[in-house]
Amino acid sequence: MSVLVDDETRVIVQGITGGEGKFHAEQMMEYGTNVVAGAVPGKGGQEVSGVPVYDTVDRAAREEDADASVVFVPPTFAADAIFEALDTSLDLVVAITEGIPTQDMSKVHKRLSEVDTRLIGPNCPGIITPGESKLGILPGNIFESGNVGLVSRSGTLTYQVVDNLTNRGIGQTTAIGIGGDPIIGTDFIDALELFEADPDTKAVVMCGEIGGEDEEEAARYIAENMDTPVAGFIAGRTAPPGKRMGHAGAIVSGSGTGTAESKINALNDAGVPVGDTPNEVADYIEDFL
Amino acid sequence: MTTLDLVDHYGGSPANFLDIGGGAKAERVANALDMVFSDENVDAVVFNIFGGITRGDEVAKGINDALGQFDEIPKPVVVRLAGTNAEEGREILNDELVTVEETLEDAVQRAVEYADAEVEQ
Amino acid sequence: MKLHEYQAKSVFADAGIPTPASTLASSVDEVVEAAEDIGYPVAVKAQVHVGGRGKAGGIKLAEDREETEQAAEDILGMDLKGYTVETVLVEEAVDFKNELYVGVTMDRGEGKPVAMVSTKGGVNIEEVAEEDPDAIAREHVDPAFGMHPYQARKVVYDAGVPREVASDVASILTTLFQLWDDSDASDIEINPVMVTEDDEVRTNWSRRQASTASTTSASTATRASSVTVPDWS
Repeated sequence: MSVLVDDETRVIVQGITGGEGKFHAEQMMEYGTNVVAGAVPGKGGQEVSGVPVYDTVDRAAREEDADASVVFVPPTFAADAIFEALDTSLDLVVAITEGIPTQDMSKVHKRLSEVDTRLIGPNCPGIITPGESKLGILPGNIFESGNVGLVSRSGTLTYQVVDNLTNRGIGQTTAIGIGGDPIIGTDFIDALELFEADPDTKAVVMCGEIGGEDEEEAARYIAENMDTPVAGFIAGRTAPPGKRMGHAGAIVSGSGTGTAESKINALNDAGVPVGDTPNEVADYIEDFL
Repeated sequence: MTTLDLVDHYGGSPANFLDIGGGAKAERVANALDMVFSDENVDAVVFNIFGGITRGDEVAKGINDALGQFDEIPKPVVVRLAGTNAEEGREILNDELVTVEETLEDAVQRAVEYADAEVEQ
Repeated sequence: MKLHEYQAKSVFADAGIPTPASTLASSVDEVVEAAEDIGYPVAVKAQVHVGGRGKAGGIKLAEDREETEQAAEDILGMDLKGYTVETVLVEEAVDFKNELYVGVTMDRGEGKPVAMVSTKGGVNIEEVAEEDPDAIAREHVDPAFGMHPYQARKVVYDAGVPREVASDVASILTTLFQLWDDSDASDIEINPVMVTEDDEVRTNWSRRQASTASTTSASTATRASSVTVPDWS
C-alpha cells in the first residue's frame, strides 16, 4: 500500500524535451515509473526516449489514458503548465520547477479550490512509492519499501532522513516532498491525512523548517486527528531572523513568526518528538515500530 | 540549513553557509573553497554532500580536483558523502587532503573539534 | 453598435494585431489614388453592414489601375442587400494557402466566453457551424482568470491548425480575447486569418488567389473582420 502513486500510475512529463525534463523522465522510467507521454507545445508527434510527445496535456491524457503529470517547465511558463494540467482533470500534478512567481501561484491556489486534482509542489523533489513509482527528481536507490510515511519541505533533508531509516532496515510506504515555496499545493495536513488513512503506514516522519505556520497547524491536526505516531525534525534553529535560507519560504519574519522554537514547541505539545539530529528522528521511528 | 543547526548543536558556531547547488564541478567547488578559506572567521570547513541524482564518485573527483588547485590547504576540511555511490566516493576522496566521515553527525563533530583546536593555537 | 470593417481594423491595429495597409474611399478617383499608393494587387471592399458581401459582388480584387477603376465603378453606389454602398475600403491583398477563422463570443448557455478556431475560415462561419460543427474547436474561458496561454494553444491545436503557424495564431487569439474583454464586445472575430505560402500569418488581409486559380468573383469572397460592441447610446 502507498499513498497517491503506485505502479499503476500513468504519467505525463510536461517539458520532456528540455534538458531537465528529458533527464528525469529517463531516470523515472529507469526506476519503473509508467511515463506514458510528454507534453510540449509545438513538439507534438516527436518522441523522447521512446515516449510520444503531444502538443497539449489534454491530448496526451486522452491518447495515453494518463492520470498524473510532472511539470519540468521553466518558471515563467510553469503556472500556465500547472493550470493546463489542473484543467485536464488529472488526479495528481507534481510541479518540480523552482522560482515560480508567488503571484502566479496565488492564482493556481485559487483554481485548486475548484478542482479535484491534487498538486504537489512547486519547488519540490516530488513523490516516491519505493519499488513502484517515482514522480520527480528523488534519488530512487536510497529508498526502500516499508511502512513509514514521510512528508518534508526540504529535498535534501528528506534524503538524509530516508538514508538514516533505510540504513537501519526501515522502509517507507511513500515519501512526499511538499516543497519549500510560500504557496504550495499539498501541505503537511493534507499529507498527514493521507498517511493516517493508509493502513500500511505505521509511523510518519514530518520534516519542517522555519517560515510560515504550517508546522504549527499540522501539530494541532496531529493532536486532534491522528492515531499513527509522528516524529518530527525542524531545520533552521540557528537561522538568523530576516534571512532567507535556501528556500523561498524558509524565512523567520520580522514579526517573530515562523521560528524553529515555535514549531518545535507546537509539535512537542501535540505529543510529537522532535529530533535534534536527523539520526535522532530515526531513533524515534524505530521506537514506534 | 540542517548542517548549520548541527554545528550549533555540537558546540560550534557557523561562520557562513554556502550552497553549491546541484552537481559538483571541480571549478565551482574550488571557487566556493576560495571564498570560504579567505574568511578569517573560518577555522574549519565541513562539506555535507548528499549524492542524490549526482553520484558520489563524481562529487569526490570534483572535490579532489578542487583541493588539488591549492598549494596548501590552509584550514582543515571534513567531508561527509552519502547517497548514491557514496562508498565509491569515499574511497576516491584523497585523505591526505581531507578528513572523510560517514555520517553527518560525525562530520560536524569532527569539524567542530578541528575548529576548537585551531582557535587554541 | 456594429463596427464597419475599417473601424474594426483600426481597433485591431491599436491592439497590436498586424493589419494591412488600407484606405477608405468614396469616389472612383479616390479609390484609384489609394490603390496606386498601396500598390497592386488590391481589394476594393464595400463598407456596409451585411454578410456575404463577396458573393453579392461587394468585394473585388484588382491587379492594376484599369481593374481598380472598374471595381470602384461597380461597387460604389451599388445596392447590396438593401444598402447603398457609399464608401469602400481599398486594401493590399496577399497570396495564401490556408484560411482560418478565429473568434471570441459569449456562450450564454455556459455563462462564459468561448474562444473558437477553425481551419475552415474564409466562408460564413455560421454555415460551417451548422454543416460541420466539429470543424470549429471551442474552449471556454473562466472569466475570473482570463484566457490562459495554454487555452489559446489548446484550441488552436484542437482545430488542427498547422504546427508551423500554431503559436502565431494562438498569440492572435490571445490578443483578440483581451480586446473582447477590454472593449465589452459581444462578438469579435477575424475571418480569415490567412496563412501564406511562407507560413506567415496575416490577419485581416484581403486574399489574392494563388496564380493558378481564378481571380474573379467567388475567389474574392473575403468576409470582413467584425467587432460588435454594445451600443450604449
